[in-house]
Amino acid sequence: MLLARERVLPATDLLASSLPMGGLQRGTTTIVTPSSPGSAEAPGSTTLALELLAGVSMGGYWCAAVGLANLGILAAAERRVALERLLLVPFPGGAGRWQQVLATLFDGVDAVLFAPPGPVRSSDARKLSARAKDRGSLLIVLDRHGRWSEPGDLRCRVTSSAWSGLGEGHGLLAGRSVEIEVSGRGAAARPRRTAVSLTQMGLTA
Amino acid sequence: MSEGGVHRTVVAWCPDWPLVAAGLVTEPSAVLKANRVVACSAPARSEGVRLRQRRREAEAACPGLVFVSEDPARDVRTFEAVVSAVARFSPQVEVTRPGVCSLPARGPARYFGGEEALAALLAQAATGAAHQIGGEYAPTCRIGIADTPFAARLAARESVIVPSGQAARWLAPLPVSVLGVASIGELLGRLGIHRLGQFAEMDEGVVSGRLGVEGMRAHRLARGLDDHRLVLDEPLPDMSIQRELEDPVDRVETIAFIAAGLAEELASRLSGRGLACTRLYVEASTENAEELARWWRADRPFTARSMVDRVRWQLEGWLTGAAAAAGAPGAPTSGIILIRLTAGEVTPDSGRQLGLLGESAEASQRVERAVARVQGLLGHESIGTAVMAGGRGPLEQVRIVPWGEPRAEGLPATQPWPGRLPPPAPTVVYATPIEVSVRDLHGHPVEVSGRGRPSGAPSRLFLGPGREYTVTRWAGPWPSDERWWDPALHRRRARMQVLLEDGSAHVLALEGGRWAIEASYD
Repeated sequence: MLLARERVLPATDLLASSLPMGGLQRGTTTIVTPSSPGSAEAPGSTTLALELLAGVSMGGYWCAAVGLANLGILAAAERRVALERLLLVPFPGGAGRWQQVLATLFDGVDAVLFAPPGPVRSSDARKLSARAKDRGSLLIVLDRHGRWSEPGDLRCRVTSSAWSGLGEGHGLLAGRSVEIEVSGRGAAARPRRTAVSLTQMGLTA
Repeated sequence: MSEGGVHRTVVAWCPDWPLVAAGLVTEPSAVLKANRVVACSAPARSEGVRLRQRRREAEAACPGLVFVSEDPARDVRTFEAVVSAVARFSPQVEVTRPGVCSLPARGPARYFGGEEALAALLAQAATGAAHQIGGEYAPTCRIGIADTPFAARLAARESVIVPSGQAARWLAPLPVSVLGVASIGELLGRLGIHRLGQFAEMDEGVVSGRLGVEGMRAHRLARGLDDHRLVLDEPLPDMSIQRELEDPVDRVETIAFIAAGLAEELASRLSGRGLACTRLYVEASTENAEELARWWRADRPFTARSMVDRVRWQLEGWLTGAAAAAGAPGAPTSGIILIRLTAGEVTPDSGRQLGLLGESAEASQRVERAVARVQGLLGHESIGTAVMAGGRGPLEQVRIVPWGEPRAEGLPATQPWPGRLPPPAPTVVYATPIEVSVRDLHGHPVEVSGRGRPSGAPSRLFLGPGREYTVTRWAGPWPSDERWWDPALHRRRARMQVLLEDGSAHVLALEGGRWAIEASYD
């Protein structure tokens, strides 16, 4: 089956209405951050990044996760990321090396999820975004520590997060509702906040 | 008086149920979820509070508004009282969600002398039960009757009995937002379609092309047709699964744990045949032969996790609800010894096709070339894919396979593993768990006895100087005794889930007397 090269890659039901085009545009750079870099306030950026990747993966496309040695892969599978189409490069090498790895992967896959191992120079960030655009690949940067200095085309930020299900000595982490803020260039210039239930409870609206 | 179609349904709706459950429905009050109002009481509404308002907006409209956080378990547990009252009219009562339940119209209408009479009696019974929970000024329960469950739910909002055959006409003026699917509503809006009647007139081919399977389903609803997808004619064997317990169990968590195994098995039997179910029958019996059996419905096909949720809610309501406390007839007087799950409304699962295609697809040359170049840069083992494996800890459940090696699964991943934490899985799993000191309120280190009892409630975590965190919620410990038969690989661990003051959630593991953070739910 030949997959047409669509301009907008699919997003999951949970996120589609929060994204300006209903999905992420090929060749763009999306930065996913927590509410403030380096802090755990409103955690959930990893889950949000996985959910963005899941939409693409469910569309039948190939994805790669670079620099995420501690990624919860079972969690990725639960979010419907197809493990058989997810390339994992947990240790992409030191300075200079990982830029080459990313550039190479843009040739091979449709979406790359990247967690910078250290601060990224503006010039490098710009070059990588340009390369992704040239190859029509999606770059999603999971930036938990404020290492990616360029604004990117789209920014997705978790602004509030609340778990339910856990009590004092009983229960289980079950559901979670977060608020995400999407902002960026062009259609998304005005920041837009939406409430999303990141762990479906199977209940109707 | 016509009897309507096979699926003519009665819906009983208790408005603002989360506030009734919280005991706040007679004051201005609202439930917040992710900073937005998801339910509010009538006094709040009269002050201008509306759904989807942000907290600040609601407070501005109504100073003195009382806020409550979401508690679905409490909502379901208390709703059991209403469901029991409705169940006396038909054993086929089905819970859609807390506050809404439904039953088939035909039999009860005949028995109670017509639909109007039925509606009046049901309203009285359900309202009586609601008043037990929320006080005598709790809103009265509304009844709606129509040819389809979807139309009946909407009819209940206006306490209407829609005559048989009139569903489409009655639905036509309603806005498309009542379909409850934001993406479809938005798309239709952009096409200039704002009412269900307009949507119903759209050509099926156009709907299918532009809105897909979900759109087709919504289209059927708008036309007053049943939303039941093509249901298989013959009930399949194997759609029921049960477990008898040797020792009676009265702790909901333990039963939920056992049910998780049953649910995973049932879900995989269904998905293995490309099937899914949207109704689930949960039966539980006690040692003294008390039984509680309930039908549950979900809009999307049941997953193992959503099945376990229903079991938990049903039993929480039964074992810990007001009925149990009052010793009402039928209330449990001993522990549970039997759990049975039966899948209902089994249909072909259209969502699976993509997965099958993906599994059989071979990597294109493009991917192969990119991988080869990365291996040239970083080494052969630097790039690979993951397969599911058996195992209890978050680290063992997945195995990385270097590119080029066979992706054979080591151990069947679908079998339930005792001691394994139920989903959702943590999104960050530390290859080297982070050592941490766990102290209780008095500053003593928290230990776990051989029987799995913690020495105290975990209160603070210490990661290092200046890195202390307060635990706000916790659960566990869940002991796991792994590979006890193999001295070399034997590991005894206990795990806990904790929620910290900054809102982050983590898995703590205790092994050999030392605690470490094994994983986080970022």
